[in-house]
Amino acid sequence: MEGVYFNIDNGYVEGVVRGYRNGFLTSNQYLNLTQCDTLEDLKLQLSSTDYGNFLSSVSAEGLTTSVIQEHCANKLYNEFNYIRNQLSGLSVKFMDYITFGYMIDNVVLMITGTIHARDKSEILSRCHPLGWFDTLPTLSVATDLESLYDTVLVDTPLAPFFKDCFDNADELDDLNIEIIRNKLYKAYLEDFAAFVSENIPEPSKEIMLELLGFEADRRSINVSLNSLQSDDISDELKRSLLPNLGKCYPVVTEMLAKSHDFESVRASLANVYEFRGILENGNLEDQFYQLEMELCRDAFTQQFAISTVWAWMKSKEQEIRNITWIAECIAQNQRERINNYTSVY
Amino acid sequence: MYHIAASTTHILTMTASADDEYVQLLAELSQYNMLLEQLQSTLAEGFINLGRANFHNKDSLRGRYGADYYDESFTGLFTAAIDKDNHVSKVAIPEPVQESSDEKSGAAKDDEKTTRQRKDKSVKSKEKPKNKDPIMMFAAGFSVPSSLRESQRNFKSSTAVMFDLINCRSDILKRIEQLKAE
Repeated sequence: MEGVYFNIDNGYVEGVVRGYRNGFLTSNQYLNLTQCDTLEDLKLQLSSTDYGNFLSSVSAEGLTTSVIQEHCANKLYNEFNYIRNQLSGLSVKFMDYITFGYMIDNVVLMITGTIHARDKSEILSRCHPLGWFDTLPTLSVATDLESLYDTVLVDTPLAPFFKDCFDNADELDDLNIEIIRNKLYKAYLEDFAAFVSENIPEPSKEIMLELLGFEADRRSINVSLNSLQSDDISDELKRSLLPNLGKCYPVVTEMLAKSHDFESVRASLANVYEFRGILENGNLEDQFYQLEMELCRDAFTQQFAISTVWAWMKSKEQEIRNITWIAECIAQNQRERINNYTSVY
Repeated sequence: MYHIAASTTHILTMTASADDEYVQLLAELSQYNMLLEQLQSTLAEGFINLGRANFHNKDSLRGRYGADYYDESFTGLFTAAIDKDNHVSKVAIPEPVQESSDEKSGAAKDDEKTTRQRKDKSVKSKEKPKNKDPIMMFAAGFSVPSSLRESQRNFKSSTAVMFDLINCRSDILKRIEQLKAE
């Protein structure tokens, strides 16, 4: 029945997103990019793709990897905002949920910048545009988390995610801020999954729960591995950072929380079919990217689904990472590693 | 005859000594080239691993590992000492003296706000050192990809090569001056 009513409110947006999806760089186009000798060649190759003349205002001397990445990202943000402006009702709430992840990054960036004695305007310019909210600049007066919450964060959409962050009344240092960030992200993922389960119809619900579950599993595995290198993370604290979501939850999540060495993490992951060999076969992050892109590519096979927006966003972010990597290899003349990108389209 | 023999011996000795100096100079120049190549490869590895870390930094497209994360209050891990021969050596910065937990809990009682914040700290005796590992600037070293740690290893190993290069260069310049004087 989703085909009957979906297009009334969301048909145009799904059409636009599928148009964007058809503009993704294919493996042949990536091959052309890897054969460029200079960043000017790369700019020329990109002009024949959906990116067009987005670098036309940049001179040859000013063309760097960061500039290319910035322009690609700005194009993505403009497209995202255009899509969000066409939607209404629950679909807008869905788009807002996508931006909450970037808001968390911005909050952490502001607090970290303050404790690192950085200039506020410098940090604000580095904040993610999709995670912007009006009271973000006032976070530069960070002293402790509770006063920050009471004065600023309580009126933001992130307020519900702070409920478990006040357990340790420690000062704000690098590690504590990172722990807070992981707790916020866990609460965000669980809240997003609850919203999708209750409000989003099938087939979007099934696809989104799978994509969010993958994100939760990735975080669980990364937190488990990273905590092996830090003595400050107890089992109880580690468990509070692992999302209650995904294929690892509940059994493997408990096992990961109690793992104290690499072998026990590997043994825990052997119980999940999708992750059974993930710690042996090459770089972990590259394998996560590959799995994520395959899930996103498959998400496009379902029609009348708002989940295509999430799949498009993640695929586009990966594409920008790929282009940036290729540009870095060209700029540093490191040709032997230039093919280490993730392409599924 | 004796004087001629003595002067010939003296000239031969001087020539042999000058040859030794030139041989030493060539050896040092060769060493310099080798160190330069080593530095080039270490730095290249460091930068490509940094690029790979940026590729793996999935949480924010704008979060490149670089100046955005710098802690302006960081004073550095070590200093370089220069001796009278213009030779450089590494000197570790001593760790700051840590306060005892008894003193801290006594101070906390006088200030309500501090007590609220530090009530757990009167039990713990932990004090974070100021001279931390620089990787802590980037997500506390907790959520960083392995390629960033690899990049840090490359750059750390390059500092020893830089010191050797500087010392080698000082030796070469000194030897050239000596040879010019002769």
